[in-house]
Amino acid sequence: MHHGENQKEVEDPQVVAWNRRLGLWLFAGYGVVYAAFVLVNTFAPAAMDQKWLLGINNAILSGFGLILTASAIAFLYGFLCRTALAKTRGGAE
Amino acid sequence: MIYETNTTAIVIFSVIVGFTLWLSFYLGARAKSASGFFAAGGSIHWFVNGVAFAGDYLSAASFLGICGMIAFYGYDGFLYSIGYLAGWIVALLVIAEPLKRLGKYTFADALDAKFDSRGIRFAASLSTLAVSIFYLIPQMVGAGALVQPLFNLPHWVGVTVVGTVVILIVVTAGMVSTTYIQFIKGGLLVLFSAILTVMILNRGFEAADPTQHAELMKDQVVTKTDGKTLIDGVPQGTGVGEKDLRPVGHLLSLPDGKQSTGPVGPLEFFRILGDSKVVIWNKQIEGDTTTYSATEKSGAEVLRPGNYPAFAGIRGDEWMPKLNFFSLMLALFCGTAALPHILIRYYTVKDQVSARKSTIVGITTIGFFYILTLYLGLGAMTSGALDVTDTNMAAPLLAKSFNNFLFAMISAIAFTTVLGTVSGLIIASSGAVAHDLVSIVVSTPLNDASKIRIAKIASVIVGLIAIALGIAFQSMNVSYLVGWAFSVAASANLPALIMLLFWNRTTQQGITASILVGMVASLGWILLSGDTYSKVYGLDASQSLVPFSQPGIVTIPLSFLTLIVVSLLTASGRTASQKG
Repeated sequence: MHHGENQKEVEDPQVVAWNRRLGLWLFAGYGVVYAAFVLVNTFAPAAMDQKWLLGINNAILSGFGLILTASAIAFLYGFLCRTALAKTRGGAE
Repeated sequence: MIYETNTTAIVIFSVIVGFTLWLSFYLGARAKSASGFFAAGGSIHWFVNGVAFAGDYLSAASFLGICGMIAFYGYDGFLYSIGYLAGWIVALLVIAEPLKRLGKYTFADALDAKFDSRGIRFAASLSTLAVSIFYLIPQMVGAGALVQPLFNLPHWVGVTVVGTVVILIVVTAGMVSTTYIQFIKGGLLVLFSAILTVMILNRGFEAADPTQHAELMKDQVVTKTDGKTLIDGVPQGTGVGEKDLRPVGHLLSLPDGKQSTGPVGPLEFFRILGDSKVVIWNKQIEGDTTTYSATEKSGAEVLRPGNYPAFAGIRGDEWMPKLNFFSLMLALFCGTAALPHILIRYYTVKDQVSARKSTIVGITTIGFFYILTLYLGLGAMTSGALDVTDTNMAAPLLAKSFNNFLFAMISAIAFTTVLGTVSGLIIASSGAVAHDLVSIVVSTPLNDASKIRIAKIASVIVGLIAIALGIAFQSMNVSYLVGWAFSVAASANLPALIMLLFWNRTTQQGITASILVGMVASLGWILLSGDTYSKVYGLDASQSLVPFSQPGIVTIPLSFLTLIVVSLLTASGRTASQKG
């Protein structure tokens, strides 16, 4: 375990730009879903009492959904970022 | 409630502490450079860093606080889980990689990477210290509060033990040992929470004997007078002529008149609870007397938002409680990605790809844990083992309802949880002092040895301050301080970070002004809020000067606006794009 200097890294600007756009789009999508969840709880909390699926109320379904979606988005982002890097390397070769 | 000294818990905790201290001294030889001390040389493996994220982030507030809130109020505690986790999406998709590109050791490093500004370093380090101290105090108070029921030791002992161990961990090996301790703690916390959840589902539900209902619903009155505690007018104790609190947390009835369900599936758990009748406890304080009274509620009521007193207003027609709730959820979403002790963890891995991978691991680990909190809290609510006076003990007492070993393990992990988070906070604070504040005063760049020496001294001082504050705040309800930390981080740090990363016209004056305005505005709002009036000043909350308690919805946009306006006004100065 060598704990040497922290080096400033240099990455392909195409990859950086791709990742940045991807990240912002995914963030915007999740942000909309989170905002909807908060707004419904704030202004229409009775909707959270309804049971829509599997005999479980919307509060629990949506809460689990937000947490699971966050994990799914994280993996999707990781997968697509790697793909972009691979494509960039393939193009350069 | 009276607790017996838990020798097993003391032994397990001692083993964990002993191992972490040995690890710290073993790793100490490898943290001789500033890079090694502050950022572990950027060589932590992404998986270790990811789990360490969880160990750093999942504080006593997450584990004990959320489980306790769910156990006593139902679904509302889960809203904190959702908000805390959602903030990690901001961290992953917006902050992680650009921050890694910019910085070296600290949050101020990142903000100042393009400017070399004393103003930015000063403002950012001040914000780091403010957020860290507000986060530290409830952790230390929590350590003291845990040590009393779990180890039967005085409050100050718990605070002093935790503070001393953390100082040793940080001083010996800095971020290296802190990372591995957080990794161990995060792993243990998630593992044993999962075990406990499986046991909850395997036990299923059991309704109380109908002949016992009247007894279960009786009030419990606690009076503290002349240094003594009376329970229903009788001295508290387990001897003759004495009385202790009854454990609470019962189901009055199950669907279809069943007495028990046997093992249940993870979704069946909510369906059955939703169709059951639960006993919920309310608290009424009058002078020295606190009366705990039981109410029968349907499971459906408990599994929906709006039971916790601070959130009850979302079901009414008034706007202020709704704005307050919205503001809180906004602060939770924006605060995570701006916590200094989380941000510095991005510098412990070697590159942006590792920063991304470790955040993904962190999100998955933390998300899994937060799903478990709903089962843990509701399992505690129906365990029949709760202490009505102490919501923080819900998770350990739930474990106790199964067996003593699990109780000891969860208790030790709860204590270790404090260790992991406090280590990260002290590292962040010492970095702010040694790396950022000192560089403002001393014009000549310091060598690594000097920086590390100053950082270690700063760690000791911050640790001693944390111990003193943990003892001083013993009798205060300090859980709100975590909310302060999130509000300050979201208002002071996040706007500066976002605009620096995404707006080329950001100037150093804009960043400095934004941080200071965000910090002062959020703190000022909180100090003038109804929550602080009632919990800190002991005044009537209706006399507060602001309309609602959570500042985020006002102070976050204010900070963004300040940065934009000041940047435009100082546009003749060097901008982020010009400095490249």
